[in-house]
Amino acid sequence: MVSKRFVLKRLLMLFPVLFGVATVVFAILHLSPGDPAVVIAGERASQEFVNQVRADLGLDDPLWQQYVRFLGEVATFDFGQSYQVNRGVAVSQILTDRLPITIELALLGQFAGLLFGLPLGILSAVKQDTWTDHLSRVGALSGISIPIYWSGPLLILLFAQFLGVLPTSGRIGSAYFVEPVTGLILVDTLLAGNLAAFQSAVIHLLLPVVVLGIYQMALLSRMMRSSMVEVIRQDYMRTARAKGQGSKITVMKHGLRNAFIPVITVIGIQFGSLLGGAVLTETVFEINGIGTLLVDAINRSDYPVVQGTVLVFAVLYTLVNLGVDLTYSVLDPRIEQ
Amino acid sequence: MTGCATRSTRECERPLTDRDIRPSGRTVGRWIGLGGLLGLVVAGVLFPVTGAKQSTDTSFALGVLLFGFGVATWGGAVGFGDSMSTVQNHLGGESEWSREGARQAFAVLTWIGAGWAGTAVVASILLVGI
Repeated sequence: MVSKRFVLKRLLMLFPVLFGVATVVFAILHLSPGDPAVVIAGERASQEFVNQVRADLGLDDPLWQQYVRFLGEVATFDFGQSYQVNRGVAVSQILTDRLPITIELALLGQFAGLLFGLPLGILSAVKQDTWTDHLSRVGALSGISIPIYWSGPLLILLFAQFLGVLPTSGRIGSAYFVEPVTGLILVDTLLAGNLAAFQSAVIHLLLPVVVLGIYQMALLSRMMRSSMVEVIRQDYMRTARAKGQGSKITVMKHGLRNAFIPVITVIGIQFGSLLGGAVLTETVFEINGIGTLLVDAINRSDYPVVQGTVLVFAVLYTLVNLGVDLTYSVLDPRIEQ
Repeated sequence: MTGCATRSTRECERPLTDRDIRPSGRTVGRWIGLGGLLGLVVAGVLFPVTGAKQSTDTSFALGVLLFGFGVATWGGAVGFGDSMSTVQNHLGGESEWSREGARQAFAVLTWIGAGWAGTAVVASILLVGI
């Protein structure tokens, strides 16, 4: 059981981390080239108008004043209004609309990775140096080596263009409209009791999830294999077998729990790349999640949207790693000490 | 002695990675001073080229960048460092990384960044006004 002190300490440490990330994002945005006032006013606008826009946005104040104002806004979860992407709309509203889309994609990608990666890794370790192991290793190596921006269009070409069995883009067919409740399309279609829409959503999400899941699966199976190979050689595994326990039970009961600790680490660390991967996947499959929002906001120097989006990414990443940290101590209580 | 090369205090008799070693106020003051000096140099070098506001703004942005990086990584090292080193030991890693060493290193960055940003703020108030 995880102690309250352990959890509280880690929760408290999230605040300096998020404060630091907010500060870094603010600094990088103001050091990078590009003037939001010019973007908003337009390339052909007069200098007076640009100055007027700059003054209206408070961008002509000294930077330290903007920083203090920014911290005040972040502390109250008010990221201001979008300059360009959804002009005039509160950033928190934009994030509320878009975040579930990316979370759904990332979770499904992670689920697919775990669903295929873990059994493949275990099988590969148990059947070490057999054809199963060699095939799984080659598959994993290919999965790690193939970038999303290549595998995505390739799968679209194969399944959408040549075979014509899967759609190329979007989250649901244009014939369906489902009132968003959770923002997660699969859940919303089920809540609406619209099975045809659910089926359409599954078909639409299949390719993006496969693209995201391939990398996760490959990495997790490699990690699971090496970790399991290590564990299988341990004395306690041999003792369990010597006492007459079946090999499957030994692996699942004693091996999996111990082999899982480094895999959990990878899952936590890889969540960041999963979010990064979601940015690419959303772009390739034209899904309007937080990834495409971020790219759009950076291109248009929309400071409030970039700051809000990166902070949300940071919160998600730190929370996932907090979860990973707590899982370690459940799997191996010595870690808490 | 491990880590002592990076300490400027006389009482450096224990490794930098030891627990219970907290930098004295004087040492922190030196780091802040070093940051302040860097902030002043950057603002001073940029001043003839970009003018008062741009030079102090750029110096402030660089200072808070260092400060923010220091705070974020310090928080990460303090909050998750113990688990990281335990997992590392569990995996049999030979790295000499430790929570305390990371905490101290990132604290140095934080203080330097704070001094840097602070000097830039003072320079901005003096040269540009509020």
